[in-house]
Amino acid sequence: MKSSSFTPNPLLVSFLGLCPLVATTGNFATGLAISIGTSIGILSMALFGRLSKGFVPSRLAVTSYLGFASFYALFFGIVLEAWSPVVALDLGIFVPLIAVNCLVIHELNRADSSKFSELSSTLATAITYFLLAVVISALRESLGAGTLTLPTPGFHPLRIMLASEGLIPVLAKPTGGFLVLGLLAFGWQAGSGFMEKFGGKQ
Amino acid sequence: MSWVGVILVSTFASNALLSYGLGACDAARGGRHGSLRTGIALLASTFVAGILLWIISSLVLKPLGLRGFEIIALALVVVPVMRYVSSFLAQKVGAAGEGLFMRVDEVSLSCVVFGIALIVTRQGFGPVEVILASLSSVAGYSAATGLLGAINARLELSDIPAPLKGGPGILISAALVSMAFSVLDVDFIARMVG
Repeated sequence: MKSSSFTPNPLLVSFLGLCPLVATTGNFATGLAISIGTSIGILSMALFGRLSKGFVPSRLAVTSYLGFASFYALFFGIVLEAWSPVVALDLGIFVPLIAVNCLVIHELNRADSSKFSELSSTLATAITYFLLAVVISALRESLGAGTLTLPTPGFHPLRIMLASEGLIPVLAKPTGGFLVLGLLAFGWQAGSGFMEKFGGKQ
Repeated sequence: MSWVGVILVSTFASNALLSYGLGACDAARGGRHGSLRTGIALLASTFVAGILLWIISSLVLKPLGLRGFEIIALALVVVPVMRYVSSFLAQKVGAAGEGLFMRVDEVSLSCVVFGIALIVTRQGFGPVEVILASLSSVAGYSAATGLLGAINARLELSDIPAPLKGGPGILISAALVSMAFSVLDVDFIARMVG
């Protein structure tokens, strides 16, 4: 496991899986929902890839993996709509797009060559993705809108008022998604460079 | 909305990259979609995916009340058809077009293709608007990626801290470009061109 397991490398260095984070993390409820959906999607894709290795002919591999991922996205969408129709509506196309999230596709490509023992790195990626999405969405909504929306069940998600208005309103928009991700990636790379220079290579 | 309005909204106000974040991963890595060949493959894939999904959605999914199954239709019908046709054409045209059709294979799993197909299908457009919206969405995405690529090339040569070069610089630039594009919102375009 070591440090590589819990580093946000796929997200902040390889820039995989950014698409939903830009558009959906302006609100904590949608950010939390998409991070749960994507993290479980990454794990289930990795498991499906390894379990089906001997059964699926290689020429049908992509179609079968994509079919599984899209059925998972459909199932997640149905569950989310039953839990909170408003959050499902706000997420719109981003729920079905879980099926072709770069991290999910990355697992599709790795499935052929990876073993079950390597699932720990997939688990670490999923947890890192979840935590980063939660932190980014909490930061963006609280600073951008001055609220924190929780994905409570039913038609009215619980909205906690933190301030009368947002300190930096642009953070709640897609612009804010690019900005926060850019600053996080900058901080990560600056920190990695500092560690390499003064603390030895990680 | 008029056809000009559909083109302007798809290109600027609802830009695939800057409004929806589609293909942000590729843009942040410096733009896999930079080459002309990949651009043409992306255009062709999005056009075919958009129109095929619209046909399936209008004729089958909507009448049966199965709109959520659009992703299944994309994954199990549209993508296999595109991949099969591209590999068939690659064999027919020989070496000259092989690279192009191989790129179609690559980009067919991109969230840009899936995302644009889902967006244009859910707008309630007619067939002409679907074609216009698909093509102009790709044009808007390519313009945004090209713009960010050019900014990145300048950043690489400028005297900025090393950790800001590459992905972080592109993402922060994307934030500024997105802010500029947000001036052209749907209401503004609707008032200007109808």
